[in-house]
Amino acid sequence: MTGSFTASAWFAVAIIATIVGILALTYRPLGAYLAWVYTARKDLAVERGVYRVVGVNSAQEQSWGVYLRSVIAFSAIGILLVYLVQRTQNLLPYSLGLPPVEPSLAFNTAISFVTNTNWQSYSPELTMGYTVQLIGLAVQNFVSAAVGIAVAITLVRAIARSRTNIVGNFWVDLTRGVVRVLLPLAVVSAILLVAGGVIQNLSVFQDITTLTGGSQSLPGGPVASQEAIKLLGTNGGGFFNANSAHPFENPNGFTNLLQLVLMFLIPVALTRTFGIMVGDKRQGYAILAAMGIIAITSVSLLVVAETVGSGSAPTAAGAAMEGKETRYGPILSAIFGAFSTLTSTGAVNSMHDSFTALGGGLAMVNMMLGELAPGGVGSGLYGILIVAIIAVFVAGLMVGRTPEYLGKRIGRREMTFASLYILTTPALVLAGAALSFAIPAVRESVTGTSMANSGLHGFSEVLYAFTSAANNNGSAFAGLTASTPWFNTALGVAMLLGRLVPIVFVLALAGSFAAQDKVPVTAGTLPTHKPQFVGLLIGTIVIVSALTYFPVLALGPLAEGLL
Amino acid sequence: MLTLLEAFVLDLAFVLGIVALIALVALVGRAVEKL
Repeated sequence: MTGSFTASAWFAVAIIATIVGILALTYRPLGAYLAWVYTARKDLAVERGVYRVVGVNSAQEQSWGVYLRSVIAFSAIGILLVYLVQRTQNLLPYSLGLPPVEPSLAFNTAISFVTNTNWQSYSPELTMGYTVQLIGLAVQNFVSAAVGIAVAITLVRAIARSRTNIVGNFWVDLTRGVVRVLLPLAVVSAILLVAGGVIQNLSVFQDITTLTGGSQSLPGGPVASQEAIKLLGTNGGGFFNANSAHPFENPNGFTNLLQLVLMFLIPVALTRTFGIMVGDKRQGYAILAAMGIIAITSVSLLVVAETVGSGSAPTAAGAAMEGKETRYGPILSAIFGAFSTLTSTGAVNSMHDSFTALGGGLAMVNMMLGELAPGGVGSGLYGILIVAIIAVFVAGLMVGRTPEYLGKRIGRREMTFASLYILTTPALVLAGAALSFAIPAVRESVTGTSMANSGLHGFSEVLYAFTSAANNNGSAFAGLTASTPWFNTALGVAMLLGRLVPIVFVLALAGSFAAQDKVPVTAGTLPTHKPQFVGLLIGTIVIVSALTYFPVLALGPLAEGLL
Repeated sequence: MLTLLEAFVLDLAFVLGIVALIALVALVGRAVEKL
């Protein structure tokens, strides 16, 4: 047993070391490339074409209010278009003979993909034809990720600027993110995935006879192209219901490793971009160090939770294998689960509902921390910068200094925005979970139809759903039957408000910073590039989340794990 | 299976719901601008 545990531990270390090594190689070039993309003066020919079609003057920058209205308008149009293509899919080519998507499900799915959540209350291969998958969902996989990066870059750009009311041009940031970053990386990733065995075709279902003489209906589809952006854009929506546990989406160890790397690739590199754009690369290292310490701690704890489980079933199977692919086992499942919830991806190669109580709780905690280690593309960076502002403010209160971060004063206005940002997501999570049990008619549906388990674990399923939706993660304790009018609607509302309301406060903060002058560094300035600040930042992240979520965690996974 | 009328009413409700949610976010933005 001890030998087996030691071998497991070394296997986990080897996997993590490989991923860290690959990310270390890409960190500088990709970070520098991203900084160039968002600061370059010249537009590419294809970008000029896009600007001409949509009537945008790329040389004219926007105030934060105009930038925000552009984000909101773009999201609104996206949601309405994805709703429309789902409701008319029977009229579209390559619909595979599928009927229109049911209205509440279309509402949920449209919001889900536009907000970069990719929560799926349905079996994709039995619900969505290829046209909906490609022009509805895959397009949103690209642009929702580009919106996240654009908002983060705007905050960083504003920190770097002084005495101005302009923060950038949303349409330029969006177009550059898609054309220069996501499309090229997705093409390369899709080719690597195809080389690894992921399918890419437009074949309809094929009936085949199995070796034992039975019949089976095998799906086809443009999977690799969707899979690449699913992970690269921290989207997470699977082409198939089983997501990355499906052998056509994630066939082997190579594709699994690639998928893990893709989830972290852009969020990690963005810390370098941040350092370059604010003119002090050490600031990027400090943010990366905080992200890295949280991520490695989380991955280690989840691996331990999934490998030391005892009891008759794990003993008989050799490990806690319920809900896990035999191809991946408990370690690769735990690592994937941690990566998926530390970012805003939500892809799964095992079923989180079957994790041990504490393992499932850790996946929830990853999301409750705010998904900022390293978080979603863009959303991870702006999330941790908001907590950095709070950390600086707290430190200022403790030692009696005027709080400032990167030469910007943190006053009442800035703290108001940062506090509202921090409060928005927990309010949605806790209100959503509470309403699911507080309204008698809803409770009857939730406990009678939706929850696969009663008691503590059933409560955890509902809590996980709202945590995932409001944090725009998209993974699920999939025992929960979420395709009901209540969950489709309530989770849709949580996803939309959980995405756009925090963006309001981030952009407001950007406007506030851009308008300020730079405060010169003095002996009284708190250094934000040293280990002391990294510790303070991690402490702030943990304390804010613990104070907010501990009571509700105690009602679900903690109670289940300790009883 | 929904009738055409039921589907139309539900579509209308959900589209209006999307518009209302977006309007709510825009209102939050407007309120923050005035802070």
